[in-house]
Amino acid sequence: MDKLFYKRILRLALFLLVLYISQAFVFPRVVIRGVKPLIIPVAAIGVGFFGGGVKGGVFGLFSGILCDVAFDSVPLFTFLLPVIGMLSGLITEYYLIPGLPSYLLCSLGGLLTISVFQMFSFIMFKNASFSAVAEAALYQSLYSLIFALLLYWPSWLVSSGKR
Amino acid sequence: MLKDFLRKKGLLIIAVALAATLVTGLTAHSLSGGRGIASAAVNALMNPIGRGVAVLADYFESVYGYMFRYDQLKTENESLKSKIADLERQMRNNLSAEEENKRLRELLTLKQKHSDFQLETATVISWGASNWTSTFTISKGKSSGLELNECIITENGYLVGQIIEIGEYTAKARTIIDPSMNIGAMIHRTGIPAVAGGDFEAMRSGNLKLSYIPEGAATANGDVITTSGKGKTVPKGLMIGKVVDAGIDPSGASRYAIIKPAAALNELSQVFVIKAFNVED
Repeated sequence: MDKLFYKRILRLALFLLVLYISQAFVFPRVVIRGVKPLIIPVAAIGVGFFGGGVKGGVFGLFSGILCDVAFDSVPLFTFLLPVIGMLSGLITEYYLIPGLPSYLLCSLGGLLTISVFQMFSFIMFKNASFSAVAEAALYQSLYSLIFALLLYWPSWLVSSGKR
Repeated sequence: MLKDFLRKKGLLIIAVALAATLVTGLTAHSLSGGRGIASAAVNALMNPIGRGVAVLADYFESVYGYMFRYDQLKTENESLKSKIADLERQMRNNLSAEEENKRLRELLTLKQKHSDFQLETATVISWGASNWTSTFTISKGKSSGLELNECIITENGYLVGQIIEIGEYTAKARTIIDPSMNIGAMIHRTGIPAVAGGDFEAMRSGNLKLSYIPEGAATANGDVITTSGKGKTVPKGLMIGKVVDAGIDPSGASRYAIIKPAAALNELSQVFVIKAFNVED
């Protein structure tokens, strides 16, 4: 493992640190229509999209752990994000043409998948009404998509800009 | 020639001058203000000219002031702006001190009402990042003697939440509108017990739900909901909120009410943890 490898690891670690600080301390204060954006999951999808399935999976694992710390949702994101990050890389490699529309499509798919899992426990175990839960999930996904757009270039940069 | 003139007219001139002096002196002495005839006459002639000169002088002075005092005025302006900024800063500090003073006075009233409460002050340092829960982190933890499940109130005694996780120097609390919250409650007007807890839909609008209201018991908008003290983790009589809506459960089995919290949850900065209290049976 050469210097360049450790440099990449350091770059990804710093990227994740900045994302965690933003997710845990900054964006809880930026609420629109009662929802806060998902920053870390969007970055995990981006790293997978640009860096490939393996990178997406590994980054997704660490970012999932941090997400569960930030969201008190152990162990949902620890399981979900490595899978979503990996799938993001594989789908892009075999089915999508690299570019902004594919990236946004991938991000939206990942965000909706996360929302479905989050909705599930509320509908099944907490008797929440489907309409209220679905509305929150939709706003969360749309708000987070704005940050997917903002993280397009940083995700490409930290993933070594392969695609 | 001069000698002749002086000899013929000189004496006359001297005599007239002496007489004028005498007259002027006498009139100045006799008139109030001491102004003599000559002086009055000269002033009467000079007044219009004097006024004209004064107007011109004022005009030129204003031009001079504009041209040459501009820098002086600019410096004075900057100095005044700086003073205004200082005064505004002092005013802000005073307002902040006034708010803290008000909070502490209300806390004193609370302590007088509930002398058995052992309180620990804490500051809200961050809010939860999830859209599906309502939690916040406070600045005190185990090192300050806090324990799990201790309840958190405002200076007015309004219930805010309960500690769910505790670290050495910080603690995480769930608010009363969190969907996982459940506390023994009471309709203050009738004394009827019920359960106040979070509901996801109510949480989205900043409210919580009062469930398990016995059949036949009615709630009215504006009813005060307080803690019942059942379960012994939360003291009795803490205000939770007021009823804003009521309805029947979709199953038809029981009634529910929507409570608007008494505490302004989105404005929390300083809170109080009840470390110990007398349990009422």
